[in-house]
Amino acid sequence: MRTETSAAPLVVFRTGFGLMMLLSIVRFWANGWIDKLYLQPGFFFSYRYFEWVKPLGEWTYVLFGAVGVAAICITVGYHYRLSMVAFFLGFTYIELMDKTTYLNHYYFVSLLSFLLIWIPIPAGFRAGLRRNGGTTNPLYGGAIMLFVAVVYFYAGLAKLNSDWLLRAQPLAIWLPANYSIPILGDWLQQRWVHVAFAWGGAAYDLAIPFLLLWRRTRVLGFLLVVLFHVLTRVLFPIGMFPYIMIVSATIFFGPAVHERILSLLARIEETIRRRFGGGAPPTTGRSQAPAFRLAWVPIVALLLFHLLFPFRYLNRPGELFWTENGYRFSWRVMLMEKAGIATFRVEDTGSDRRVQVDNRAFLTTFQEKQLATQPDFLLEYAHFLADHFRKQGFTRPRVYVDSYVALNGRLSQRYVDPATDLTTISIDSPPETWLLPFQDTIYGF
Amino acid sequence: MFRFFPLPFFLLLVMSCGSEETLSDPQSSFDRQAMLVHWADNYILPAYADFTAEAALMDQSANAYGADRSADKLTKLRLDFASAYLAWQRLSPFMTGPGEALRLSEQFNIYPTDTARLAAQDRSDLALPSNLDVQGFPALDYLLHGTRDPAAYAESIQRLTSRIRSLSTQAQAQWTDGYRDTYVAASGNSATASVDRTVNDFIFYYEKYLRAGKVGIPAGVFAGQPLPQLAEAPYHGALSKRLFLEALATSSRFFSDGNSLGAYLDALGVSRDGTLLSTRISDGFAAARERALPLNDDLATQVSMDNTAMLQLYDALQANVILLKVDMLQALGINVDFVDADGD
Repeated sequence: MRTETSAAPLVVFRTGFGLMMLLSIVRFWANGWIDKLYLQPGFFFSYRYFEWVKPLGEWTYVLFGAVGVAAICITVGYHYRLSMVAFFLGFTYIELMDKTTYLNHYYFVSLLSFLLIWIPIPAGFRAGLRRNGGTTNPLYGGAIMLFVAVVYFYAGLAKLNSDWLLRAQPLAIWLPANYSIPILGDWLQQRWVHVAFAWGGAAYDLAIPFLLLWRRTRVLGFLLVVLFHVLTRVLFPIGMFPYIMIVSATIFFGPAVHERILSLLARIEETIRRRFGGGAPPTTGRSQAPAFRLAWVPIVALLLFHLLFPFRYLNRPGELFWTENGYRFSWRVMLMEKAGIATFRVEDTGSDRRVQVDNRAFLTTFQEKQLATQPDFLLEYAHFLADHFRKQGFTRPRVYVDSYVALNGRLSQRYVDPATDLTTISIDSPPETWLLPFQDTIYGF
Repeated sequence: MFRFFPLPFFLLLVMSCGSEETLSDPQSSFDRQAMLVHWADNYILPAYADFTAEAALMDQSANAYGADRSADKLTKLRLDFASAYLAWQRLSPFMTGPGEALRLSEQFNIYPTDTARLAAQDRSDLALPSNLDVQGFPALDYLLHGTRDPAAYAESIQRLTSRIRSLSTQAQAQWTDGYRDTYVAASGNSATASVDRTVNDFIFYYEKYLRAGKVGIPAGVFAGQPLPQLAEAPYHGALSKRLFLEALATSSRFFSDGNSLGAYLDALGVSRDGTLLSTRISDGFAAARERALPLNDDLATQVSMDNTAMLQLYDALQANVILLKVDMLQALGINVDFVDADGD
C-alpha cells in the first residue's frame, strides 16, 4: 500500500545522535560543569510552571549518568524507544533545572528527542541494510528533515533585521576579539568582513535547507554545513553544537550513502565482537521497533508547534531584543550582544532598614551575568530577595533595582525604573509593561 | 537557488532606511601587545619602583624614630607615611600577577583598622589572614595619628613599615625578574591573558576600592546612613581627599594616556550617540574630579558636615562604572570575570 524506503538513513541518524549526546554528557561532566552549574549555586532560576524542577544535589550526577547510559543505548539501538523516552525526560529535566544555562541547541536536543520517540528505528547497524530488508515509511525521514530545515530557516529569518544586516551587530563586536587567529585575525578587524559575515550567515541559514533537499546541490550543501560549523567552532565558544548540526545534516542524504556508512559500522562491530568473543552478530536484522498506529498524532503536533511557536512574539508589543518576551525557543542564535549591570536595594516599610544587595552572595558570576540583561530573571530574583529579607526580619520589604543594559553596541540605557518596587509586580506580568522602553528601533524580523 | 534570496534582503534594506547609524571605519587592527608594553613599562614598573622607594624611606624613618623618639623624627616619619600612602594609590589599581599573589591590597589597605588590638600591641603573625586589619597604612594611621603617644608604639610601627617594605620589594622583584616579559607576551584574548586580567582587576579596583571604599561606604550608600568612621585615613584628619584624588588621577591616566584603553576603543571606532566612548569615560573621570575638589580635606569630616556632596561624588563615580563595565567591556569583547560555559 504505502511505498517503503530504506531505513538506513534513520539508523545512521540514530547512531550519530546517540553518539553526539554521549559525548556531550561526557564533556559536560569532564569540564566539571555539573558541580559548577548545578551543585555550587544556592539559588536557581526557574522556568514558569517548572519551579518544581531543581537540581538533585549529589544525585544530579546519577541523573547525568542515566542520561549518558540512555545515549549509549540509543547509539546501538538497544531498547531504542524506552531509551529515547528516558533520554528525553532526563535531558529535559536537566535543562529545566536552571534557566541560566539555556541554550538553543539544548532546546533543539529536547525537542528532537521527543520527535524521535515516535519514529520506529531498527536496532543495531545491520537492519538498515537493504539485503536485510530494513524498510520504513519515508515520512519518518521527512519529519526529521523538516525539523532540521526549520531550525536553519528560522535562524536565517531572525537574522533579517537592521542590527544584523546594516550595522553588522553583534558580529562587529565579536569578530575583532579573535585578532589572535593566524591570517584570519587581521581580516576580522575589517568592517567589510563583518558585513560579509553577517550577510553570508543569513544567506547560509536561509539557503541551506534547500541546498540539502535538492539532490544536485546536496553535496555542496553538506560541504557548506561542515565549513560553516567548523568556522563558528573556531570563532565562538559554542561547544558541541557545530558537531550536532553536522551529524543532523546527514539525514538529507539518500539510502546509498547511509548503507555504505552502515556497512562500515557493521564491520567495526564485527571486529569488536570477534576480539572480545561476544559471539556471532545477528544475521537477520528485522528487529524493527513497532510503529504506533497513532504515532502521526504527536509527530504532526510537534511539527506544528515547531513551526508556530517561534512566532509568538508577533502579538507582543515592545522590541523583542529588549524585552526578550518570546526570544527563547525561537531559534534566535547569535543575534545579540547584551551586557548589563543590576544593583538591587531592599528597603523595609516597617522600619528604616535598607540594604544594597551584593549579588555574589546569592548568585554565581554566570547567573549574575544572565540576570542583568533578562527581565524575567530580574523579577524572579527580586521576589526571592523579598522572601529572603522577610526571613531576616524585614516586615514588608520593597525591592528596587538600579539597572543598565547595553544592546548590540548602543550606549547603555536604564532598563528598569529605579523607583519601581518589584515586589508589586506579579511574576506573570509581561516585561513590556514594567521595563523602561527601548530608545531605538530595530527593523525586520 | 540563490536567485531568490536578494529579494527579502532588498525589502529589508528599504524597510530599514530609517536607521541613521553611521559607523566610522575602524583603523586596522590595534596592537594589544604595544598596549601591554605601555602598561608594564610606563605604569606598573614605575609605580612599583616609586612605591618601593617610598616604603623604604618610611621604614628608615620608622627605624630612626625607634632609635630617637623625638618630635622631629616623628614629624619626618609622619611625612614619609603620607608620601608612601599616596604612592600606594598610584600602584594599587595594578595588582595583576605578583601583587595579587602576594595579596598586597589586602595587607596594605584594609580599613577600618582594629584599634583595640593595635592598642594592646598584639604580636601575632602578620601573614595570617585574621590579621589583615591590624597592619598596613590604616594601622599606621592609627598608631601615628590616633594614639596619645606614638613613641609607646615605636616597635609596632617598625614592624608594620618593615612588612610593607619587604612585601613591595618582593613584588617588584618578581616583576623585574621575569614577570614583565610573561605579562607582555600573554597578549591573546583568553580570560587568562594579560589584557583581560588587567582590565578586570582595574575595574574591580575602581568599583570596590575607589568608588565604594573611599566614597560610597563612608557616605552610607550601602547602609542607609553616613558612617564617617569607615572613611580612609580617619586619624590623620587631612589626608583622605588627597588619597582619593591621587587614586582617581591614576585611574584616569591609565584609561586615557597614550597607548591606553581609550586609544583601543578609538581604534575600534567605538562611539555612542555621536560621541566617542573614550571621550565619555574621560569626561566621567573629569566630572568626578570636579565634584571632589571642593570637598573637605578629610572625607570623614565631609560626611559628617554635608553628606549630600559625598553622595553626588558617588553618583559621578558610579556613572563611570556603568560606562567601563557595561559599554567598554562590551565594545572590547572582554568578559566580566570569566564564565567557563558554552554560548550559542
